[in-house]
Amino acid sequence: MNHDCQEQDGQLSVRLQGRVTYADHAQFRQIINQVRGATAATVVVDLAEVEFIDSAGLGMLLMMRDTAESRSASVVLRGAQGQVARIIAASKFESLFALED
Amino acid sequence: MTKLGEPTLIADGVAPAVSEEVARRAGLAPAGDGGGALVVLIADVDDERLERALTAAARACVEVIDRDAADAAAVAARLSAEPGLAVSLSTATGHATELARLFVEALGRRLGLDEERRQAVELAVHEAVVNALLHGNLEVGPLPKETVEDFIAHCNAVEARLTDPDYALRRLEVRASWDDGRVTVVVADAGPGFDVESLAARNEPTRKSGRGLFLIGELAEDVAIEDGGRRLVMTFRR
Repeated sequence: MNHDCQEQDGQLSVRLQGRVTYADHAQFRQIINQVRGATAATVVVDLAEVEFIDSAGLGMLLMMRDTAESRSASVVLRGAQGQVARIIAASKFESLFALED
Repeated sequence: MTKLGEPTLIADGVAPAVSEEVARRAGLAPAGDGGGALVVLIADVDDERLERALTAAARACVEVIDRDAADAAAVAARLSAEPGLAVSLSTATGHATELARLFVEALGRRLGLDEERRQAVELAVHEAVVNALLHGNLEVGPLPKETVEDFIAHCNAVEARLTDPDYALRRLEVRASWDDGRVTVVVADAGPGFDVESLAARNEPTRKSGRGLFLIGELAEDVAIEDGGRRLVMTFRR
């Protein structure tokens, strides 16, 4: 997995790329620190370039959500495609996140 | 010169003395230049070598772990006798490579699986492999409280076990067999097993762990847990 984070105009954009799996915990830790330290009211996670996500990757998205909510920010999952969109639907994430195309 | 129909073996990254001993012990002849071998023996495995081996092997890819020829020969003899495609690696190698992706890509090429089906099988096999690696062979338990701190502690425990040969050199096996309608994939570890009753598949949306078995159940037509929790058997429609 690759990632980059940018905070602008009240929004923290987290762009993930490649395969998001249990092996990516070190990068995930950096992302959590960014979410903790940001002041933005909205965290947008761009999944458009993610080709594969596993159950641990879903767990990491949930921990981003917990971290954002602890400072009253919300999380949007944007652009999920293919396998990623299917697993997010199977896991009933529409009840937890705002999902956008 | 290899005789027609004789079970064969090729090696990639393995010292010649070791591969010759494995071939002798397993009753496999070294393959000639022409044909594909039944078994590909590998060591110092990275993604590139694993992909090459999965493409070349007619039946099995077997890692030589810690230069133990007797162990590799026993695995090679067993796997070469079963039709299908199999891979047997150390836990360290299974963790360091994209095993599920490479295995299911090779399987998909052989069976002509369409892309959506291949992705579903890949995710199920990946989840089964991760469970076998982390909870089976490395004996790292599930997340206790599901906080970020717990998660980091869990990741550190995994990294620590990967440096301990008693855990990191345990074998992990993935094997597939098929007929016209179905493909069955078995993922087996060498850990102490589980209380199978405790392995409820969970899908409460907010759960951060324990979702893997649920996903496998959604993706596979049939799932069975065998050998006291050491073996997961998944059946998919082709």
